[in-house]
Amino acid sequence: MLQLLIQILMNGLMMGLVYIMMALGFTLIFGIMRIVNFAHGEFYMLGAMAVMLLFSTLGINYFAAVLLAAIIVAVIGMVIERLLLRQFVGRELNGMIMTLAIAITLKAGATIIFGPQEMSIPRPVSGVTNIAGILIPNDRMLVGAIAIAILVLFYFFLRYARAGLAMRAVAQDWEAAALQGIRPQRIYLLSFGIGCALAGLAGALMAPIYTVSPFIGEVPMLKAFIVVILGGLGSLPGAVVGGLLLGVVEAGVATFINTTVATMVSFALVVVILLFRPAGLMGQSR
Amino acid sequence: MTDNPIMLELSGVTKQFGGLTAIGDVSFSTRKGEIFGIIGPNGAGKSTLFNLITGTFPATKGNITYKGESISKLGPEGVAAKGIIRTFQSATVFGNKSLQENIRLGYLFGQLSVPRRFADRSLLSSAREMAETVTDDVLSFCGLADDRHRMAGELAYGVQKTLGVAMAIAAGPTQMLMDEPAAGLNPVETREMGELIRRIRAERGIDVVLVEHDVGMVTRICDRILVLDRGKVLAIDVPEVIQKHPDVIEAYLGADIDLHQV
Amino acid sequence: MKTWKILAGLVLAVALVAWPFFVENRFLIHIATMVCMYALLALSMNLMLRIGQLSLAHGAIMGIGAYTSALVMMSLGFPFAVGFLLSGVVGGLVSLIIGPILLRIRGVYFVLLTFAFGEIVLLTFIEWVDVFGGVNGIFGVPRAQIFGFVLKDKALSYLMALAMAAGGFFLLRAIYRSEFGAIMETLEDDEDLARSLGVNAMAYRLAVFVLSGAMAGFAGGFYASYFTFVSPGAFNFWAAVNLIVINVLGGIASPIGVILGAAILVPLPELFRDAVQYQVLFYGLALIVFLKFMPDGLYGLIGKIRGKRNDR
Repeated sequence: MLQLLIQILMNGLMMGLVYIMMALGFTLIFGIMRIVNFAHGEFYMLGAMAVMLLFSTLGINYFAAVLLAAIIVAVIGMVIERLLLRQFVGRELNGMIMTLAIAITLKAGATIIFGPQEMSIPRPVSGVTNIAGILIPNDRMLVGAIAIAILVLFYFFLRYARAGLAMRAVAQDWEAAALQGIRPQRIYLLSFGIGCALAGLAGALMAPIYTVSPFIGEVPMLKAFIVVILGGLGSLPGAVVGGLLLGVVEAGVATFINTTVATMVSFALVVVILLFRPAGLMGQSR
Repeated sequence: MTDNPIMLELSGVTKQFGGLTAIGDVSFSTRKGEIFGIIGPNGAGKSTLFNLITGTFPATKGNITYKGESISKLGPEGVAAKGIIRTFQSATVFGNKSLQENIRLGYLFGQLSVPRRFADRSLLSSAREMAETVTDDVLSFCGLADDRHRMAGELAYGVQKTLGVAMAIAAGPTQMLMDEPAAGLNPVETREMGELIRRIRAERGIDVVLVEHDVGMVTRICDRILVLDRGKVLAIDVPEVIQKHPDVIEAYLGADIDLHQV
Repeated sequence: MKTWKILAGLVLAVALVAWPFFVENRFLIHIATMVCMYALLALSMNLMLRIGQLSLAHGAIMGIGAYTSALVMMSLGFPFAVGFLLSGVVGGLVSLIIGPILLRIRGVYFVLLTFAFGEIVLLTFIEWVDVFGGVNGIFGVPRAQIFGFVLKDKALSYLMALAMAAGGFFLLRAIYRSEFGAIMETLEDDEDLARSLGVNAMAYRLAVFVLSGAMAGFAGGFYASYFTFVSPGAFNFWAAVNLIVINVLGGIASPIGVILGAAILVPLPELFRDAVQYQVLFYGLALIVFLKFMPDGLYGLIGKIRGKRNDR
């Protein structure tokens, strides 16, 4: 029994780390631009597509391919921000419709280019590690390790880099930040790029584990959405806690009941939180 | 006036935000035919008190009644339905509608909020004529007739504020609550606003409670003044007494405001 | 001018009713039926957009109507009329129950809330296999039947859809021109001011939500009998997004714009029949262009052109 619980905890942790990467970008974009990015799952999909092209088609080293994929997705994201989203900063409803339109377009574009079929990518590592009876697939472990490294990097960036500090300042108080000479326009561009890069990274990392198709973005987007509301829209620590929580709860409910019920429970939780603690579990209630 | 019936009455009203007491045990009552002013230095809790009376948020403790009926738990529309209509500190109008349409809506909403009058409020021509009559009447009463067809959002700030008052009058209140009617107005406009308020009482028979920062205007037009300081009642009296009240002067000196300004 | 308008309206009405009996093209009639059904749905979404509360639950509410009608006919054995009526009633009733809770929340949080609610409804359809048939849904829903006529004939189904769309259109037009409409507008403009003058904002919002939910429910009831099957996939949040797209493209400001949006967007897939994805791509791109350059939609564009002509 204990072993089963630890196994569930490990599975939950692995998924939770991916959720966190999705949710951090989603919440960062909302916190800074006040835009709910319904296209966030599409950037995950683009990351997976890019890694497929670079790694399995062009034969570039897997790690280099993941890095390149993140950069490509970030650039695409920044172009989209500059051309389509900037005018919607702060106009929440129209901005949301715009991201829906972007999601539709990106998904259709990917289908036209890559076709609707599911494709698989060779795994960079294989096998299973057995630690005292707890089984962890090596590829999952690799994803977990890279995800942790990225999250630590992201933390130090926000904590110590000038751009990171500026981003946090803009998220907290736009006007005060502008008074201090921070140019919000550049921060929008940067944060949207970083948010997309995180989603693209998640997609690139998960691509060898699942199959790749133009439609793989929807589920991670839904998860990010749940995590972000659990943790509070716009809260970075909330995204981390919410991601871990969702990963573990889901793994538990999925093991003992089934995944549909697990999803239903998480959405019910979202409704309750939106109604009674709109600032999320971690945040101060308004 | 001291024999007139009590209209608005607050007893032991307290409001706490978290652990902070914004309003502590405030009690007072206004009487029929009165213009009642509430003043106080910045941060004294004037806005909080105003929002409690208008039902914007509930009090932590205490009771608020109007003509003996409790209005503490009614919410803004419920308070309005009792014939108590508020105005706003900033110019608050329906900006993309004409000035006269704003006033017509004020009348219409005032009618809607009183259930017993619901029967008259049909599309019957008599009801429409009534709305037009009231609109014309309020337009001229407030001196807004010249601008009647202009978009409310395009009007000068002072005119928009007057329009806000006009909408409240059109709603047909027995009691008006005015949140800083002089805020943002120049001295000439402030004087005109004061004049309008006095005429609202004299010619329309509407009682007025106003919260104001401009002490000069309050002492000029109010019958009685309540001084609020740090959430508590410092004094309630006629303007002449308030102006000489040592505690009041001290409270205001702290805030660096000259009571005898204007 | 006035009689000219009435005459034109009459001719249009006769043409709309009569054409399927002359043009016996089943495919065209099917498309026209879909235009009408989506017009009704988009009008129901228009009500919500008018009070500034964008709902992503409308796909799910339509689904509730569709499943209600299907189950009332198939499991309880009632005739179509009862099933159809209940589809709207239950759609409205569900809105009435959830409305007081959901409508307190505004802006983006309301959108997210309705999104989550819609997902819960869909997952319920999927999970509760005994009743709702799971992912596959329910097959063999009886066709619509009015006064003993089974609407097997496409033209009759079209007429029913046309009647529903026309009903929705005239209802909304009447509402927007009435004082109820004036109040709805002020709720979007400045709710605090409206409330301070005595408008019970929540009651009006709830009334709008219930009407909107009932319209979506009726559309669902029609859907179930027209396609003779229901499955959860048709009622996810993308269904609600489609309705928003129709509104944005047609123009939120007028019911005519909404009808126009449905009439242009619904047949679009047929232009790209060989490659559905090109249609979706076009759909997305058109929406992007409209949001960026034409925030007032097609109807606003027509208004602008007309305005310019009048200036001359």
